[in-house]
Amino acid sequence: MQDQYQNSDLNRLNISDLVSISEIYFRFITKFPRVVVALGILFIIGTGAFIPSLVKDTTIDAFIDPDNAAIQYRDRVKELFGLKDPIIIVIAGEGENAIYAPAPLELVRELTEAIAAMDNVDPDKVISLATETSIRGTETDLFVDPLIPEGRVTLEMADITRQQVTSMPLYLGNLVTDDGSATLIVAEVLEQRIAGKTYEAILAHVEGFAPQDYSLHVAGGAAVDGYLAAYIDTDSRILMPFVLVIIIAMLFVAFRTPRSVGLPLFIVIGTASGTIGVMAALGIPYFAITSALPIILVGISVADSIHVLTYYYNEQKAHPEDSSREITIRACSHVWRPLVLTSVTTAIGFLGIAVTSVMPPMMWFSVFAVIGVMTALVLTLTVLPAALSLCKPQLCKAMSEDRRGGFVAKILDFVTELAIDKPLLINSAAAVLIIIGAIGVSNLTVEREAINNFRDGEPIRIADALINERFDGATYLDVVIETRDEGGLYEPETLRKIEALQSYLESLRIVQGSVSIVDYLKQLNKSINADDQAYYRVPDNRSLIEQLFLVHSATGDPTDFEEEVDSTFQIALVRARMNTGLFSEVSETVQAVESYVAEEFSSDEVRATLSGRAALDHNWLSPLKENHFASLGVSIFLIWIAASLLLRSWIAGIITLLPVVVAILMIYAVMGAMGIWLEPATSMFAPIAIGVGVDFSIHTIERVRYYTRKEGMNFREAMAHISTTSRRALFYNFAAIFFGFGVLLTSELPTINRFGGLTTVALATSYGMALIVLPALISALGTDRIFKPMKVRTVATAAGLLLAVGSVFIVSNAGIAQETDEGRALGERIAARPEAENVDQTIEMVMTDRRGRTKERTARMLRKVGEDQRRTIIAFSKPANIKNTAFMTHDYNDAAKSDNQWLYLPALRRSRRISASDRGDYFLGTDFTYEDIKDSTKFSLTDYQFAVDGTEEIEGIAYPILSLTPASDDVAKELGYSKVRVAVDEVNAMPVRAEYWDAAGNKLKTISSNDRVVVDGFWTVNTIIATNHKTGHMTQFNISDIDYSVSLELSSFTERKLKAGL
Amino acid sequence: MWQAVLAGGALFVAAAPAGNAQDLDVSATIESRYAFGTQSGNSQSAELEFRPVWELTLSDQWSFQGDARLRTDAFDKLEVGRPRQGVVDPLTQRGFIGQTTEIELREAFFQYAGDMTTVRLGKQQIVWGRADGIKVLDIVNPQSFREFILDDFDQSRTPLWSAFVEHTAFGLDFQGFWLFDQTFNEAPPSGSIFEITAPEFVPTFLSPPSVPLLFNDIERPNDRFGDSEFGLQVSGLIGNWDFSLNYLHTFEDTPFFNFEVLPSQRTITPRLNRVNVLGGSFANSWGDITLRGEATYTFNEDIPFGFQAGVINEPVEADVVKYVLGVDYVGIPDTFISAQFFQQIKRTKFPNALVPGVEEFTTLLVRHDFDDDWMLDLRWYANHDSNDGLIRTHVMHQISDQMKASLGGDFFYGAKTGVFGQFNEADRVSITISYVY
Repeated sequence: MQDQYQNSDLNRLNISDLVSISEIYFRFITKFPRVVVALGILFIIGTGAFIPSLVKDTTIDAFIDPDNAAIQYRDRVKELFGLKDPIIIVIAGEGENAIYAPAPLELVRELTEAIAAMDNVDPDKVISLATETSIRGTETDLFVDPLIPEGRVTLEMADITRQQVTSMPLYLGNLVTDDGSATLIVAEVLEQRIAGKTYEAILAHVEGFAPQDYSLHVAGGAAVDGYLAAYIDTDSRILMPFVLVIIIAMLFVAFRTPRSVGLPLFIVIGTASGTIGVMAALGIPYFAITSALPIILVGISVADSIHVLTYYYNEQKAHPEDSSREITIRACSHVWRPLVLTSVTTAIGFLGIAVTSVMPPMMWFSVFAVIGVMTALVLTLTVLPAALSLCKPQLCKAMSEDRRGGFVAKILDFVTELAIDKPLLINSAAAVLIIIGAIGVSNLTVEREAINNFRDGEPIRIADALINERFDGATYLDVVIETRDEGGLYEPETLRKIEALQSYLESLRIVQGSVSIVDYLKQLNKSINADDQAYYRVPDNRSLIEQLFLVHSATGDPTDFEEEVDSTFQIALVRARMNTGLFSEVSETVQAVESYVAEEFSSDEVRATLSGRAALDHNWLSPLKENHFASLGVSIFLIWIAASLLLRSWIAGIITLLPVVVAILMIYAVMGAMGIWLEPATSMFAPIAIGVGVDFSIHTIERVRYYTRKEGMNFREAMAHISTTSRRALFYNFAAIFFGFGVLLTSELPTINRFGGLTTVALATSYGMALIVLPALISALGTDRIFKPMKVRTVATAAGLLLAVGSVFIVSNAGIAQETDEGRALGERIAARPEAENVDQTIEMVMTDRRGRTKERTARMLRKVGEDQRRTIIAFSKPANIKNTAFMTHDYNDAAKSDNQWLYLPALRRSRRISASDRGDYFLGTDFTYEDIKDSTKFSLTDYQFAVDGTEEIEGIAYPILSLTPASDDVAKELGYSKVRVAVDEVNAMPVRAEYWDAAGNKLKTISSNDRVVVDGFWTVNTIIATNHKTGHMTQFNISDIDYSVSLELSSFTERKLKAGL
Repeated sequence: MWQAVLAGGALFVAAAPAGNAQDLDVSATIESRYAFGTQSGNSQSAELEFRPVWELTLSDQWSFQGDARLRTDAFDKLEVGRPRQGVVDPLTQRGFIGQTTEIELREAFFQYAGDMTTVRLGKQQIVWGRADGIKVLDIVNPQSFREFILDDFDQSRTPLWSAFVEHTAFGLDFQGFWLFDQTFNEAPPSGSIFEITAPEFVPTFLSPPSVPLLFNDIERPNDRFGDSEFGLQVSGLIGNWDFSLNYLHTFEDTPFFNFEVLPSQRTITPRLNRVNVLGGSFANSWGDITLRGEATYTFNEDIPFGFQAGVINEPVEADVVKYVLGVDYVGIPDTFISAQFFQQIKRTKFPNALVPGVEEFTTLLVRHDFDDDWMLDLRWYANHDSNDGLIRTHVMHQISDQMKASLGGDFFYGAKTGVFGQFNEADRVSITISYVY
């Protein structure tokens, strides 16, 4: 057997060779220990420096791929109708008509004003009885009056309000309950990311505000999501210190030496800093789900350190006379292999999740878990041995005591002996568990209800229940109706379709009500006919419909219907409210509505698309189950391949996985039995259990392989040997991770509790299975059969498979191109707009930050347009601290030829070639990128796909909207934009306004080109303003002293000119 | 002396409110810096600098530009006493007021900036090369090592009286200059914090001399025209490659030590070695990466070696190749990472040479910008042959357009015989505040 092993093709490089190479490596590392440790410190400082710039996105929307049609449509709804996720304030009284009294009505008005004035609340989008109007009429007049009058509200006025509200069915169930016992104030937030803070501010404001016999509650989609996000954020910040305390305690108990606490902590900090720092550096947001990542990183990095320290102290005990360096080298030379094996398999496991996950936060979670695992490995194999070699040799009393047979050791011995002696019993029990688990999986339910994330009794939960009970509901489904032409919504037939849609919606069990422009139209028709109920219908005549809206606009607020229909009456929104957010019910409803609209709105004349919270939840949660199992399957498969390759045995690969697969099946069974839902938070337990839990098996199997193949021991002897080295380390490894995740059980959030509970049980089961089932399996199969080496061809095939799957992740997808001929034509017109060959102009830049502080710069720009390129120099003259700083660019028309850029810094006295891929970077502190500066109100025909997307009115003039999509993901990444919408002046092909969305699909900035004039026959912009919506920063360029008649030579634009100044 | 007068005049003009008085644009920087020695536990310096800059526009192309520096240091440890400035041309010498205050006319030149031609006449800095912090091609102007390499090169590089012309033709820049200012590298006097003690830079004896040593003053070139220096450069863009080809007829800026044996004494005389340097540089960028490099071939460069007391120690010269390769990476948002590898190869090996035949070191720079107003800068210089190096950390906050503050640390490590290790005890932390108007 030994010969077979040694003669195998796979063993041209013997283990002994590897050991000696590893020895050379660790000898090298420990030769410059201080430098290595210093590098480690530098690494922590360097990566940690990025952490303050970490962007957080703990919103639920982050779970949806920005390319998902549902979220793109939701964004469109936001743009068109100004609707975002609201915070809802409920004023509830007892008894019928309780709300129609002076005190509550005055309270509604007061609160409406107060909330509209709050930070992050869109003051134009606060809706309540105080902002809405009643529409009523006589035979001759139409009256549009506020529902709550100014000044003190009397009983009589309150009664009038009641009459007006009850005469308008569209408010019932929507703004006021049918029985008049409660009313809502709906406030839309500007920035979803900080909606949690807004929720808290409103909650604090309303506390103690309610008059006697009334109660105030705050809920709503924005509140739930924002509060949840803030909750998770705060929770993780509170829990992390506990995790660290537990880890420190565990380390101390395991070794009872200061270095055994300090050094692993250093590795932990390095791993966390490296991973989170890289995350921040790459601009990847910290998602809600990322809260679990630090705990995993802590667990993994501590585990690696525990193994190294265990071997270190063993070596120290065996060779007390040796120097610390020699001990370290020997210990690390023995332990590096299982560490590498476990790290690589764990990383591959997470990579599998990353490749298959459809939810960006899960994908990034897995990617950074990979980065964290490998960072921990590198630090453990560099900084830890370097630091250890600097320490004086010291006995580990804790290990000596254990060796003499502590309680834990005795238990472990008993279990191991049982497994080796009774393999049939143990394996049979494991098989039964697998069957039970498999059956349990079928009972697993995918379900989610956002409000379920809060404990019973939480104010937000009470409020949500109240809204669902007394009003139409807190969950909404939007249907966007698009007609082909402007004014299409004046057609009676179209309006009747909408009316029928609403009837259908309200026939569905959980839909309690709906609102659309049709409701307002019917009210108008009724009012204009002396409030005759017979006229509460859609008029038959298009002209009448137009006139009704015209009359309303003359008497009421022209923005009254802006949430129901766009200004051209081409697109309408139907909003249905549901009294539950339970995913299964919402999903069923959404599917029903999808079928309905597919049938009823399938013509070119009018189309319907679903959007809103309900549609979003349906879209992103529906694939969860399939995706979850697919991800797990891929992950398990990849780990199997990797473990088989590294252990050079298919069977070894299988039995490595068995314990963790059993553990996961058991957890599914428990979930199915206890009715714990499979939702995004709880589903995360499985990849963590696989990634971390498989380490227990790998350590054990690798050591068994080593002792049986290399040292020639039999299995029993090998297990006995392992018990003095790896087993103890594995126990504390498990304990560290177990208690680390166990801290999550103390979380206030039920979701985090469940996640923590499932993960700890999964890990404990994995560990238990590795302890019991693994030895039983090996004992039953025999080490010869298990470690029978694979053929080279097989290894190559497996390695190829691994690479092929891995490369799927690396290859970036081409962007989804959306272009029309019309769009391309307009884009070409813009690009072909005549421009001067020579330009000399002065640019005054004013940059204003969100606090109103300004910075001013003055620069001179020279530009020469040649046949195949453009050359530009921008040189600053003010202020003094950047005087003579200059930037030069050579831009080639040929897209295949890369542009060249230089920056001259007076402090260096020389120019520096800079990367042209910086084109997405901001130009010297302004809100314009290098590309914006270069393109100068044009858009590259090769970077974008162009499509015309309707028209928009700006300052009374209608402009066609050109929608630009980056031609590929790479271009999007370079430019920093995922989408641009440009309002184009067709007269001169100049952009009037350009709106930009960042790579994550969030609105980034708007550039407005004002003061467009003709200078020397060329259309010129004198003022350009860029407003960054994310940072609140604004840049204004005022262009003056424009000279197109200056004579410039293309060849003069060299570094000489850059340095000499303009 | 007259320089001090000129500089004083410049300072007087600059002290007036800044602005454009007719065609005169004046601005100034006031900088205060305090450095504390972390190893010594004592203050190293507390400096106040006033640096006016002016530009007098004479016409569309002609201007008269310059800058001056008034500097005072409370502790007088960076240049103990009043430096003798033996290596500095009288035309370029600083004026001293007492031991701690100096005044210097840094640059003063007439410039013609035409569309295709630039001419500069006067005291100026001429900078070649593309490396950061490593001088391979950047050897036209000498340097003051008052603070070793810790000061900005812009401030430590010594401007020289010279005539400079550069013309663009056929898409290339053709440059030539003539230096008639015989100024060379200035080392701080004995007892200064950054006194240079590494063997390769000071007279080093393999066996101690048995008779007294006499250190003579430096023998400076004294023929302003015959001993002048000139340089030529052709640079431009070929395809996407920046390139330059350079030639310099110059003196090595660091003196070599001529050890002479006289009947009753031994003398050491610093002398300057005439060399010819051929060089070139390149740069290109792809994606987020910029690659740059430069190299020189110096004919008959002086090689420092250890003296043996009882024998005649003739100066030793060899051809030396130096090159540096640098890679800049900007793929991480708001972050600049740059690594450089430098190697110096002496074509002939000598016994007793104080520097290895092949000398290498690397530098690493990581700079990150936070929110436009904060910047973190980390640098590491490592000499692989003597296992010594320097780690610099620096946090800068741009308080406003005019004002900035920075906190930094400079830490040396390695053996005292190394280029960096010789300052092992000069570790320091410093705080700097500057105001520009």
